[in-house]
Amino acid sequence: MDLKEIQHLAELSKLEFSKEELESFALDFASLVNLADNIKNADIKSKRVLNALDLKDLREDEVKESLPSKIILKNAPVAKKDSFVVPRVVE
Amino acid sequence: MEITKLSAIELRNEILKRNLSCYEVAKAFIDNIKKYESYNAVLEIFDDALQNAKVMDKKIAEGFNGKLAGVPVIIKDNILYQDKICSCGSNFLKNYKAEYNSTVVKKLIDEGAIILGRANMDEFAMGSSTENSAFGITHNPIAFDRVPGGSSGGSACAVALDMCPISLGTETGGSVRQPASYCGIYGLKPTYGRISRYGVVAFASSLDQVGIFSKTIEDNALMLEVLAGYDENDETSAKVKVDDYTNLDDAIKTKIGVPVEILNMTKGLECEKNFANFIEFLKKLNLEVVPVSIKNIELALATYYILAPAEATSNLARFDGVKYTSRSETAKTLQEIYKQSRSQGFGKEVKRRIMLGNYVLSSGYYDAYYNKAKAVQGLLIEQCDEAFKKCDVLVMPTTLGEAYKIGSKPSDPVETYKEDVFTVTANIVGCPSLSIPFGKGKSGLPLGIQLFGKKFDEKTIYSLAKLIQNNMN
Repeated sequence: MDLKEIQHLAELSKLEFSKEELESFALDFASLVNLADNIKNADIKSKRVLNALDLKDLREDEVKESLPSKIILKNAPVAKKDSFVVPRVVE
Repeated sequence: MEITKLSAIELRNEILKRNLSCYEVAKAFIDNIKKYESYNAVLEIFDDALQNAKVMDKKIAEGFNGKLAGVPVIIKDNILYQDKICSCGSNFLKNYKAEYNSTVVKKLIDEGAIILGRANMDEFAMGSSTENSAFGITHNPIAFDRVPGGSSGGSACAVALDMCPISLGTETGGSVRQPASYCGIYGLKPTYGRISRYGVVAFASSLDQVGIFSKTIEDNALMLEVLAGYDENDETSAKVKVDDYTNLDDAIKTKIGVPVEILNMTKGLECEKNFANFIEFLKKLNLEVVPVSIKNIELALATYYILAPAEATSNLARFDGVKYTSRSETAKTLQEIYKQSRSQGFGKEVKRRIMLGNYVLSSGYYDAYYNKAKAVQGLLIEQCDEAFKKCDVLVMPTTLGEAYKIGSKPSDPVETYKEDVFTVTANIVGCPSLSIPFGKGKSGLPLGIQLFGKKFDEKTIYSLAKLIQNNMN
């Protein structure tokens, strides 16, 4: 995998790397992709996907009380009134 | 009587008989946490633990007799306990305080447990050694220069060094069973859905489960009895009746299945001879041992390292510099807040898994990796179902060998991932699996064997483990 592709993944991941870090990741990635590539050897006849859990039996959505925003905002790096604060994103 | 050598069940009995107070019990275990501070198993002793023990003494005097009355417990640092820091072993969350109690913590408190502190872990539970914690390495309780396993290494070390009789960890691909094996104790990964995940910081939601460490089978079973059950706050928790796990029948005749593929996979490894010894031991107990096949088990590792990072990358998107305490001080724009907060807050292994998750989910690769891995998951579920038609419990080693030396793994991450080769299948198929201590490695350190059961049949694996425990000496 080339550095451009790693850079694209970093963008998707919202992560930043120095040039050295990117190069080191490229090395790791070759090995990781090698491991993941083993899956290509699987002889899959049916495309039936099973989950570890049967999700048919879900309860109906109900409106219930949730945690007050005041408590949630205690962990916000920056908060004002009832909101998380971020820099302006529209001009 | 040496308090810290007693099991949870013994402690509760002595406390209810008023031979011991909750306060002196909690104090004795806290003294041990301090004594073994250099192992770095516990990140924080909660400052209200002794006060809570005093309150519990009063409640007991008034007739309270909860299943864990006065029993000290340590929780992994990714389980929410209201108003306490829950850092997940990450710098990103080093100041994050839980807004509410997880269901497991609520159940512990309701039954009278005294939560002493939070245990070290690999950052966001990503790792097999606890070397990936932002707050230092945890040491193996038996050999200081070795790893305790991971990611729940702190919880395992805490039980092994008598800092508490039982602790909680979490599992995504072996993070309870592997450290249990390295530390010479019992470690259960319950059936997916057996215990609520509400308030447990998510790594890979379809694989994660809370797990239990203990020094005896009876303590492990008692804890499962307390924690198991449906929770309306976690729709993946199962509406399946909770067994009376503490009423174990060690006389049951369990039929044991040995996957033939596992015999091939152990060839040349340190665990090979020990596994053969274990099968002989089972035969001497007059248990029927039959060969079974899980044809695609060799693909489980690749399947796991596609599915788990794919889910992790989505779950960790919430750590964006907006909601959970950390925001980069250098960031000016929203995009910079995302990128710089994450880049400064996450360690290398976490970044690696986020990148891998995005790779297997990205356009052009999704079918070849993620969808294929989901299909292999389906095959493995079918193959395990088939194997369980011929037996009640599958057996396999927990680890490749004994605990390795700190810093000894090569820089290639896949070499460390291979540690999980025997444990990931239980998570992929959702079955319960218990690691029990059995045998020693070449340096005399403990090895573990997994008893891998049918879904929601923890009782059979506990009963078999009790039979083994009773016949070990």
